[in-house]
Amino acid sequence: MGRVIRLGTSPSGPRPRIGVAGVAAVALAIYWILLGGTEAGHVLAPFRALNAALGGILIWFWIRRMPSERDRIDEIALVGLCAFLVAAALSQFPRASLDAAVSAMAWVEGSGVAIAIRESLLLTAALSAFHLIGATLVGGGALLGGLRIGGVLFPDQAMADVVRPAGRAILLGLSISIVTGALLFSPRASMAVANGFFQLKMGLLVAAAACHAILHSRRWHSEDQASGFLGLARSMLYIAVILAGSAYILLE
Amino acid sequence: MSIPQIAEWLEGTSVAVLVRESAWGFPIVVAIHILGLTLSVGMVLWFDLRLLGVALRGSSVSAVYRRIIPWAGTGFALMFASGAILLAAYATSAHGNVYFRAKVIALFLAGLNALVYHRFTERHRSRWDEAARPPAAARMAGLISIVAWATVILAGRMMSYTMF
Repeated sequence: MGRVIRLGTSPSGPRPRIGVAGVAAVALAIYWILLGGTEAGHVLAPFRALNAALGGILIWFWIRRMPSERDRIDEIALVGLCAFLVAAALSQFPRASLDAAVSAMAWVEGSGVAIAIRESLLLTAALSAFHLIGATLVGGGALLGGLRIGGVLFPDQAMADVVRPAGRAILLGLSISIVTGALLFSPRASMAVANGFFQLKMGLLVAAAACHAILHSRRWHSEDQASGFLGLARSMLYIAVILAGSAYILLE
Repeated sequence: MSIPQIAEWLEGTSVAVLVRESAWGFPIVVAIHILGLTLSVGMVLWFDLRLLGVALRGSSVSAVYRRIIPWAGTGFALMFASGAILLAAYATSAHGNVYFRAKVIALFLAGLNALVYHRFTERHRSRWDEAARPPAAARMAGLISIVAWATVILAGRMMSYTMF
């Protein structure tokens, strides 16, 4: 276990280190996000009860570990977890939400923007090109930041000097990718939501974003083993997102 | 042999036929190509940003180069190997494609820019290695590299939509 490095501006007392419980909470959250809203949760009824139980455990962890000077991310995450717990407990959530999403997709496909994109190959190609530029920024930022947090790259340089610009590159890349991705998604929304690779891509993206949010909340920003693991996991997840996206386009 | 004849010969090689005719060959090679691109361009971008004086200013230019290049080099090796296989598989279509030509020109520009940087600009690096803001020639090399690689990505993606 290395020394704790704080990136936050608050000079106040020591913050808790990430232990096995913290890593377990993140693993549970990733499992929950990946499985909670998918068909597996509907087909296999025990998953619903399991997800609800895991939600309860996550909230318990969060409340126990929440420092007195909690930040906004903690509060938002706690509200989100409570909402998920209620939704998971109210049986029809996964199926009903998927059906509602499919109806919404039909509306999206009929929009003027979707029709314009569907009818123009060059516009689709240009959007796809900028989507890949966004993905490259995300991949590069995630690799640099993850390798620094993991202590593999630039171990002698202050973590903030590497992780902060890497985080900005990820956010810029994600912004480009989300805008272009939403536009590319619009003409084939219903096909996309039913595609296994697309679902996998979105699930991995949510898991990667969750890792990103945890790493960039101040009290997780340390040089211990758990943070290193999270940093490398985030890099791997973003790369898996890129691979799943490739699979979705190529095997559609 | 003319270029169209070379393209036809390339398409007849066993690797090209395998990529073109197998169900998984093309998707796997393209996925490796994109992975290589993310690794190479995604990492070399940080060296370019250091040359521009925008990021990683706490490390010297040479230190950033030394640490980034093994990762970017691995990405470039993956990208060029998979790109060569893809080119062989669809050489005649690529030869007539305007975006392929733009991509080749951008690749040539990126290579030339790297050569000029290492041959001339870097010669006096000891004077500005630690500087937060390197001299104009180094900053220009970083900027040209970013523009050239962005053009490679844009043209490459446009190529895949207009070639088949």
